[in-house]
Amino acid sequence: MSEKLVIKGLTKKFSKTDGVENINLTVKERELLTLLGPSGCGKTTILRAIGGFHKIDSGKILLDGKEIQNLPPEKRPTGMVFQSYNLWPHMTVYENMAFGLQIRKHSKAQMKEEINEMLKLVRMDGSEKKYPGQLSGGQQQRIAIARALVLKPSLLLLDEPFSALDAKIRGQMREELKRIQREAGLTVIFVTHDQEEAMAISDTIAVMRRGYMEQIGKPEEIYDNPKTRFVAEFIGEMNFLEEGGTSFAVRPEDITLIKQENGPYRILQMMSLGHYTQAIVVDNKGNEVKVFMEKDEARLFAADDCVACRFDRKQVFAA
Amino acid sequence: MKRLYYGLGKRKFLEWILLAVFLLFFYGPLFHMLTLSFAGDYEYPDAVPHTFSLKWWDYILSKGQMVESIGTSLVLAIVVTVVSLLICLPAAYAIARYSFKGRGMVRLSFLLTNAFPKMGIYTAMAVIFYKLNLMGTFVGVVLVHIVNTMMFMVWIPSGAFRTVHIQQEESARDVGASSMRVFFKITMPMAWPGIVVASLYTFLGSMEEAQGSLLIGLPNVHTMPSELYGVIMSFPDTAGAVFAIILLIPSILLLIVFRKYLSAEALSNGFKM
Repeated sequence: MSEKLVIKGLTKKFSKTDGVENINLTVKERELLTLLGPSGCGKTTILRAIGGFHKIDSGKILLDGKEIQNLPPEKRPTGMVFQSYNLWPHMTVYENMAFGLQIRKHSKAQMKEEINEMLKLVRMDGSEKKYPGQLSGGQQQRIAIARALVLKPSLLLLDEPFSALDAKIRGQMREELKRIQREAGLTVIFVTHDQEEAMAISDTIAVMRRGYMEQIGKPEEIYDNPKTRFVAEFIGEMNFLEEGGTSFAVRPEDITLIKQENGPYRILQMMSLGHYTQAIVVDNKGNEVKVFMEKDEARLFAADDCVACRFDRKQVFAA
Repeated sequence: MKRLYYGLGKRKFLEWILLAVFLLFFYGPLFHMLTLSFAGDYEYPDAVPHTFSLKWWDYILSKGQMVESIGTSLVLAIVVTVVSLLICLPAAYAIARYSFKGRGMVRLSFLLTNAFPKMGIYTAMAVIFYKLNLMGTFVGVVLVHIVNTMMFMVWIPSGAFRTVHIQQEESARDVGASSMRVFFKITMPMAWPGIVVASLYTFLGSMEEAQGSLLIGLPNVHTMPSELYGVIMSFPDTAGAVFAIILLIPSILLLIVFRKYLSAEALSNGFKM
């Protein structure tokens, strides 16, 4: 796979503490890379810098080998979809989609074909004559994605596109996006603060914190081997424990409960979460530990049972 | 009357009386003016003329200067509206979109012209206009009118621009539109109701403006309202009535055509601080 986007030493400061500094990032062809982090970590700043909506202080942005950092947004071969208010309410779906094509002087017949094809891809064919106000939030985001894709962008930029939607639709849209990306062979940069979403759709995740990259890697890599305590805490569930003066971290699914009278832990609560069960156990000092187990296994335990914990996989982080 | 009172019930009856008083208050003078304009034989303080005719219409329409003033007023109102759109829309956009030092002051400064007694400002302007040779010129009158309309023309469109989300403009840039195209194809159409309302106020305001036109425009520029002063002073009531009705026609036509834009929302958006 060849390199699609290369960012070298990108710096964009809003104030002394606010902004991103010396960012280096490579996105490969047909890759879906997610910038993941809490709000204010700079993920959107990077995305907007790539799209041309922030003038950067220093650094280089290379797309398909060409420097684009000095181009205005309308001259960049990127397509952006925002969290909301993407569509123009005074235009129909067709007019929304045709806006960029008209600027590129496509013929009417060609335009119609391209728009139809794109609407089919996002499963919104037949909605050409509707106004954005007549569509649901999820449908509007589909149209926004289609409008970006109809211009055949070299790189698709998605700025929390699903976070204004309700949970169920959000899940559907993730699957849709993954399918569209596969079918159209897209390179995508996706920004989100939702680690579950990032785990689900990404080929690569870049975890960000306070303006720099904490860790870049495949989702499973980041989940199994978080490099820092921040990443471990931010991605998935993690217990932070102390034993004999050394502190370590362990995932709830890497703990096995063993029935033991006078065991060091007592079960506080058992909670069925559908396909698995969550137990919260507490030691005599009041430290709570979260444990995930299979449903069958959970039948052996009840609240107030005394247990011991076996930690199958510990991780240690420098302070 | 008694029959009506008991037939309707006390509450309904009082409501009807109130409505009648209201109608009389609002439409009475208008109706009176209308009948007077078609009077043939009329003596003050009669309510209704003795005979009806079109003789005062003939009279007004035969006065060259008055007919001319109708044209002058219409042209003036159109020029004032267009010029203040050109001046104020960019200002309104800047105030809506960019946060810069003293933005609040800039907004308030448009209110200032409306806060002072008009005549004071006009006399001050007249002094400057004398030096610039703008007294008695069309350009001078246009400037005076714009001073009046600027607040509406900046505040209302500015409120309308603020209802356009920045993402909607950025998406348009993203698909390849230059900033000019974004303004004319995305921002303007979305802010259209606010712009229409502001233009309407400007047009009507210019149509009825008299003080400034009198002071700056005379003796060369005669607008309908400034002529109306003369008509009322030196001709019978009936002539004034005819002229007033002519002055009313464009306002009423505009209000009917653009009534769907005249929402409280468009106005209140403009006055949010």
